[in-house]
Amino acid sequence: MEIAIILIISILGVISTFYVSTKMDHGAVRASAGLSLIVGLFFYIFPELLSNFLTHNIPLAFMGASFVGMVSEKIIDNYWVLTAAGIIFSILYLNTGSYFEGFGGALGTTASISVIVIMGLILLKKRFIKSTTTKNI
Amino acid sequence: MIKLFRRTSLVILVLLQLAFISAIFYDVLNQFSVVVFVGAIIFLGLFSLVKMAHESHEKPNKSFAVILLVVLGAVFTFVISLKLKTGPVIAAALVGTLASFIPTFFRSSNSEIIKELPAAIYCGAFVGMTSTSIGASYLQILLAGFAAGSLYVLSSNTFVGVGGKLGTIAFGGVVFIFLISLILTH
Repeated sequence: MEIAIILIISILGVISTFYVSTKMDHGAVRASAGLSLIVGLFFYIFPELLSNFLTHNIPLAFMGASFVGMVSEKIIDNYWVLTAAGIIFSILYLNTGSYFEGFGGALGTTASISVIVIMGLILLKKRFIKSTTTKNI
Repeated sequence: MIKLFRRTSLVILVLLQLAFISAIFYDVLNQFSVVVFVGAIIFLGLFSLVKMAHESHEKPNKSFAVILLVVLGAVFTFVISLKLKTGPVIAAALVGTLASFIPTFFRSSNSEIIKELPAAIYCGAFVGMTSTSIGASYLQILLAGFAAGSLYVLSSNTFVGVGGKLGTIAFGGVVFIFLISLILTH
């Protein structure tokens, strides 16, 4: 259940940041930092609302996912693709373990790997469609 | 020269990501499914890096003063997180949010530094998220901020628009300084 919540939070983090950044035109930094601040403050004020695991991990997962949402519209402009990027981010986040705990930038590295992997999937799909179309002709 | 900068920073960022992904799955690499997953991630990552147009061929216009902004972001975040006991998320988010409003006060200015300020300070904020539980000191944060700032300037034309770029740069700075500290203390 807790893992499912982290997954949903990650997707929400990506989508909301992208929306505030591009559609509401606030820019990537304000969208990511502003939304993360709201989520962080919420769990700072209400630390006993959820389990320890969720109180600790929701702000971190949301902030990390918000880095994925900072992606440029020129690179990803589809919400389904962003959702997939959020899922990849949460899988990586939940498996990061203790190796880089406390290292600044670890969340951002996880986010950039998620974006690059999803870009790879898009390019692979395009190549597959292109080769199928060529064969049919 | 610009091409050399671009290639060097690209290699550094990719090596950081490869090291990161290998390290986080190191414990479970004996499981076949994990090997397949990590292999797929590395393949897709490298495939997109080769095929995707994420590089800009424009002349880099970042001033070296930007390094100072990254250092400022790192130190402010570290101090807020440590002294006000807010934790790294609130500290970095607060510094990033405040930095994002600074260009609003200088609307008339066409200065490149003002435009670059929010992203540079936010990049520094990620450096400042480093925890004291891994032995981070003020000097290390300062030096890690400087290293990240240098990488930030160097990688102007690489990973353009890719989400998480700032975090990867920050991670590079932190890992570099902690590695140097580790070597010096042993």
